[in-house]
Amino acid sequence: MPKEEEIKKQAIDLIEAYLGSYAASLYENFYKTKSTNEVLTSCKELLSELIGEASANKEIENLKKQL
Amino acid sequence: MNIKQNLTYLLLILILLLNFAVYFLFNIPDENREPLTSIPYLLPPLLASIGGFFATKNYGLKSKSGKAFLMLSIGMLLWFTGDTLWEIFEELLDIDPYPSVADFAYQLAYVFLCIGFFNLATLAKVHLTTKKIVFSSIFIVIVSVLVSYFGIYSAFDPEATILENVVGISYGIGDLILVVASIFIILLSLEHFGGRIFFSWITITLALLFTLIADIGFAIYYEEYETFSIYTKVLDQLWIIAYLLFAMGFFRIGFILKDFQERLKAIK
Repeated sequence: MPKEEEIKKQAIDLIEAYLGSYAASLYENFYKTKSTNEVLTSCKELLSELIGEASANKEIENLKKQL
Repeated sequence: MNIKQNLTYLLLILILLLNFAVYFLFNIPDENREPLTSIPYLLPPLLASIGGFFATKNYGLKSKSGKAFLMLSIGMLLWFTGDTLWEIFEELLDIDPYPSVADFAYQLAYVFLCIGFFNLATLAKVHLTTKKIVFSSIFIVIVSVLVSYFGIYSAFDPEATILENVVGISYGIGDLILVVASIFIILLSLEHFGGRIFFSWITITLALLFTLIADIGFAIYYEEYETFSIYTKVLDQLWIIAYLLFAMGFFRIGFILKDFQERLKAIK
């Protein structure tokens, strides 16, 4: 799987873990036409609102390290 | 915060006040007391269960969080079942409810709650610092000693039957597991400080702590609890507060998820 697609998949998995499967399905469609940077920025903003900026940063950094 | 959310929280507060009034303010004759205290008493565990299923529905069962909340919801439902059976045995059938199938429901609940809380704790990546490890260790040691002494060691009665002792000690073991669950949720709360979900985790943490305090109190004052004394009233209020805090935490999480979903639909 190309790296960009992998990043999007991991971001969707993060959203599913924290916001549930319905939110993940909505974002999956939304992210289809977005660049990797846009996906990561969007995911970070979303998670920051839910779990706080520090935790959101950690999750995004973990995601980047895995790839 | 929308109207449904406000009404939900208002309902929880009203049920708290109703229980307080029934237990402390109304001068109810002894022969009428039990039915009148039972119905308001059963509402909090029922609402905790409904709140759990509401959060589960909004996560969806495909997600790991949804599965974890399903476990918590079933745990709450089993506690509600245990409470209901207890009241039926005591009031309607005039049978001593301890030990009985009600205890089976109470203790099976611990299994589901443990699975739920541990799964939630593993979902979030808790960053352990020396301070957190020290705090967690002190908390676990102090509360475990209290639970072990009052809930397990003191619960053993050489004059009781084997079944009564097994059931009595099992509550202590269940509470020990809740102690560990509490620390996981406390760490989760700290990890999510600043986020909308932080307050929900704090509410659930307080619910667990109130449950532990009430359970330890019950283990210490079991005989006094049997007569409708001040011990009964205080301990029942602690459990009521615990259930309502669970309900508030679960409903709040459900409403937060719903809010995100509504905003996402609008973007679409």
